[in-house]
Amino acid sequence: MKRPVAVVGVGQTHHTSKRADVNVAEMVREAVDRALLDAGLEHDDIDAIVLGKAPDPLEGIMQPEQYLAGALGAHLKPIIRVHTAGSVGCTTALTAATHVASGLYGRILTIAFEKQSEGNAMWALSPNYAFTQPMVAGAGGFFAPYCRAYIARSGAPGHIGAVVAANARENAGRNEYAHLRDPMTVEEALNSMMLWEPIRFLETCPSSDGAIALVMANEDHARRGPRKPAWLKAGATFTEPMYVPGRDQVSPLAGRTCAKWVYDKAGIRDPWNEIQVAEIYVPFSWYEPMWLENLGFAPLNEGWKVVDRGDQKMGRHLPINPSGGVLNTNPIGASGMLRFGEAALQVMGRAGEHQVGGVKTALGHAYGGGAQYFSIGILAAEL
Amino acid sequence: MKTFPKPATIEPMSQRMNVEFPYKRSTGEVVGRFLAGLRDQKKIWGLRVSRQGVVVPPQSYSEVDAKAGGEWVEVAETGVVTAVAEVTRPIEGLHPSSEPFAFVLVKLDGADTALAHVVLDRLDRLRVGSRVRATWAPDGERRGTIRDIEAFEIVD
Repeated sequence: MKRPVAVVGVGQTHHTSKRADVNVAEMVREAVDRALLDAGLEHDDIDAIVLGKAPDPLEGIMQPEQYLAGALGAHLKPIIRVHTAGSVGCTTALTAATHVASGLYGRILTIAFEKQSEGNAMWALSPNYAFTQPMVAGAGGFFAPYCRAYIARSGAPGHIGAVVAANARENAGRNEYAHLRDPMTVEEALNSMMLWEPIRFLETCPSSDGAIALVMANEDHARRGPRKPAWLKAGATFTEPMYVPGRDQVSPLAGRTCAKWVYDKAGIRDPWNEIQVAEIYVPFSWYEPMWLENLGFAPLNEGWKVVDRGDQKMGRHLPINPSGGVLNTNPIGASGMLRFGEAALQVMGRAGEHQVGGVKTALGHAYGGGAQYFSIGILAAEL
Repeated sequence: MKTFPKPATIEPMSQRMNVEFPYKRSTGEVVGRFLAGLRDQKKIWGLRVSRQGVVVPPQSYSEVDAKAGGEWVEVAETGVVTAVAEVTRPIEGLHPSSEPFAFVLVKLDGADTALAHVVLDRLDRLRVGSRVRATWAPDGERRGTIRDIEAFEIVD
């Protein structure tokens, strides 16, 4: 970052399958009000607003940035909307950060949300595209072949996905905001219905209603705030078109490039030993070992061994998704910002019952599209 | 460099496609109370919010300063037209009437904002400044939508 940027306020909703009691604006405002309260600020203190959500067909609200402008306090302020499919939440936080880093804005309110109960994300994302054969796959149908390819080339045993899912659920049990928190065993996951080989029902993310808001500030404001800030050491987004020749869908080059870029900027040479906690975007269980490799936490084809050893569990070498992650909470647009915000809470030491001990550096990650957009932020306790 | 024959087709081509998808939108408390007032009471409720006056139909937050909440105020079913857009050739299935009609903004007596609605009759007499009154869908046919007010009619 050209100038230091910090997260100074975090607010999220209690995520659940259906918030019939509120409309989109009211749900978003729950997160906004909590983030402003957390930062000790009011709408008047905010210079600009950066909003992110998944594509409009998910709720069918045309231009939510217009519909929400009043509720977000955008009157006579800039507001922009960010679009990068599932990665949008993390990309939105990074867009807010670059606005602060530009020096033009002192404090920015950034928000991401999804109210999945008002539409149907799986089929709304599978419209008839012109000129090509429609697949009508949904996200699970789309990503399952990538998971099969991972298993084929890594030789991972079949139970790894269920181990990931059970561990994520155990973590979610400690997170009061998580959507799915009931205990779940590896056996239950293995015995659940196969949806898209190799992804079973209990190895896939839920549909959630929820929102998260962050206040991001420059160094001056961050040091004067009521709480310890989370400093953004590095952040980047990289993109990979669908049909790039030689594309590796299992471990996309854009993801590896993004990880290397942020590690270089943050001065991290050995991520496995220099990062204490990571919130990574795992909507389907097998993506945990896949991204452990893509992010450089494990050698190629050995991400599953981290899971098999249990080194990604709470209290072990590198806890992955102590919040319970996307597998237990998936308000799609918000999911990437939840990863970023949870990483911020970890370095602030305010993650509550799912706090990891001694966190100096945390990673927040999201991906989107057909594993085409990658977005990573490195948060640190010290500037 | 090797060259390839051009594709056989050179006239502009296109493909038709329809994108359609169902949704179910939660009203939330404020919009819900407004719509329930139309359905159950045949009353039009507004919300007096921070720095904006009485807003009809009400929203959950002031558009000026984003403050939540406010005082519920019943406004009249009569008001004055502040804008008119006449539709002389309606599109079947898209517009709210198959006969010529007008979209209007109506500032109801007691409100500080104007409500978007329709006028269906006596369009020759309709102009900015016209006094209008709500006409209601019959009992048992009001569903909690903005068209529980069937239309606005010109008051002489």
